[in-house]
Amino acid sequence: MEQDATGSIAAATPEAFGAWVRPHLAAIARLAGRLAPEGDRDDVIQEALTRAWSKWSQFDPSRGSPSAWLLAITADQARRARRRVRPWPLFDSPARVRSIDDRLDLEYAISRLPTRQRLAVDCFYFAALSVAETAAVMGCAEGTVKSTLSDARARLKTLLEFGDG
Amino acid sequence: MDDIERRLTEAGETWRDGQAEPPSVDVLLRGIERPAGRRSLRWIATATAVAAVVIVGAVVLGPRLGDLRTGSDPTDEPGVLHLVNVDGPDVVISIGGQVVADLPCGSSRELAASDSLPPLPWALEVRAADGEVIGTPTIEGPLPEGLLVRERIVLTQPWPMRIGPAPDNPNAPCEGPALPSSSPSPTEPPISAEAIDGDYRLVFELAKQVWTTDESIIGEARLERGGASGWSVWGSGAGPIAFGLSEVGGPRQVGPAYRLDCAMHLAEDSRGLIAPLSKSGGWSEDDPLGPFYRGFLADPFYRLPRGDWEITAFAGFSEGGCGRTSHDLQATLRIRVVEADSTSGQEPAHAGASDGLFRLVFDAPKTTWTTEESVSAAALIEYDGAESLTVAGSGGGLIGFGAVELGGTRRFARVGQDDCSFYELSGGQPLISGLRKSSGGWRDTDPNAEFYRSFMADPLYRLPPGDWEITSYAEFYEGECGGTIHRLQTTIVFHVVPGVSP
Repeated sequence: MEQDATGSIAAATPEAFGAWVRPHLAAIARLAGRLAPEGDRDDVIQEALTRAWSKWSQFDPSRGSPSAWLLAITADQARRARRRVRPWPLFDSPARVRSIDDRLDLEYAISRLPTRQRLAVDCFYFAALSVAETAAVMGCAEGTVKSTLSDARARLKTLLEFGDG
Repeated sequence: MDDIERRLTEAGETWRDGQAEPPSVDVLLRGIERPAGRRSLRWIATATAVAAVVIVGAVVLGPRLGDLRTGSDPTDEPGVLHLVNVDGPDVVISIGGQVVADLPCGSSRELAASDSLPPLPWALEVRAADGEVIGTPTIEGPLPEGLLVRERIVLTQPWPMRIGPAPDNPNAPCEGPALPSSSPSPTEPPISAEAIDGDYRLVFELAKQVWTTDESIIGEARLERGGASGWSVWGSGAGPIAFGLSEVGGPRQVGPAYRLDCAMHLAEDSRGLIAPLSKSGGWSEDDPLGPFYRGFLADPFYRLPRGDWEITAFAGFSEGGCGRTSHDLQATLRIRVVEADSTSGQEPAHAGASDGLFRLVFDAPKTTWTTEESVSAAALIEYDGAESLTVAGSGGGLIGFGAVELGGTRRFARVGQDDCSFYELSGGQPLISGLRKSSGGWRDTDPNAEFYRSFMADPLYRLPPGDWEITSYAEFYEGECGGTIHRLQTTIVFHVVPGVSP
């Protein structure tokens, strides 16, 4: 089946699925790039889309947007990939921040955040997901995302100013 | 927008600018239509990566076997089973009733796969001169592989073997007294394996090779960098070292699994980064071995069922930041686990304390131990809140242990690092710590000084006969160090009796 923005259904062909996925691919890639083990981003995207394709008939537009559904699947596949293989990094671009010192400080501080806060930061600031999409990935309400981000910023402020001991 | 939000926003933009374009939807759709083919590429890549790992090993034999030392490249010796009898009785080795080698104490042989031998797998019989069959290992190949005789224990190991020095026991010569096959040798030395990648060396050590089903296996892995200190690597937030487990000749495999995050880890002294042996892994609910995996991972002790097992230490990390140069080292040790018949029938010990928000639980598989056994116990902090909670405390861990000899003068104080680290507690995921030693030190004039010295030098937690009160302590702050403090402690009295059988 294919469901467009209005929820209408078309034939369940790979081409129709591709057209349905295409607008969300950039966000899927950003999230996978952020959460997948190093070098596994494209594998995670592939596995997420394979999973989505096999579950497409179960997508219910009344329960969330296509992007939220696809991003939640992507995050799940990234988690599975990490369990399956090695401890690989969230950050795989040496050019992701402005300077060496700032990069090390900020990366280190982010790495010291509790898991949920770190996930919120990764989704919102790095993968550039909306609050609603971040909530879908985290499996919580949008208000919880906002409060988690606020807590994360407060913790980062402390970590960057005073270190973590 | 405050400064933190601005920095995060800019860091995110810069990170996104550095990301490669994803594959096109058309390419991905081709993968969807042929998932099996794409998956095979992953496994080929994984196998290649594993094959590329250089496991450096050298046989280190005891003085009686000095001439058997070999550091040869295993790839130079295909099709050879290396037989080494370190300190066992004289043995003969048969395949299918055909004697293929005799192996006196202190000797070695090579058994080459040839036309005169049946094809692999080989069901070997190792028979001592007194007629007792002391081992029936199966060699499945591929060769080379090693077969090791230590006292009356037969082990198969990857080749080159690393077997540690022979027991330094003048009363246990080659024809030494037989030990019951279910009893570990009290003089058994630690075993170790290592791997090297450039400047990095991964050393994996276990306190001994043969364990009982009651004992919690003790060991650690160290990532060293030429004896230097002050260096750092980046890896999983829980640390760059994790452990995996594989049943020899069986299907059970566990881990390693890593936390999703990435953090910098600083080697503060020349010993490098140290990780005590721990468990990690997952399983599928539909896996027929699910009950084993669930039980193993839920057990606070590192206990294994009877059999031969390989434990592998993995070190995976990057330099200079997440995602830069990647290093991947593995070091494997093979152990044997035998039934703990000497103390069968005991009930587990359990103690607990709660302050309303947190619970400290202290467990041991039994309370009576022999002087030759390593006392095994574990403490865990439980928190039942719906949301995860950050707590802070000593960088050495939130849980410490102290021991006091009842009716005696010997005692070990709990000692913690004077720093502050963060830990996350969440419902259903307790923080676990195995019993470990600590001491606040002692004066040389202390009449117990020699005991303290030997106890702390022993890699096992072995105690002299008597009653010992061991207390687990948990001390930590909510949120940040300096916040609301929580202190919990709970105690179990252990009875230690001489010898192997209580």
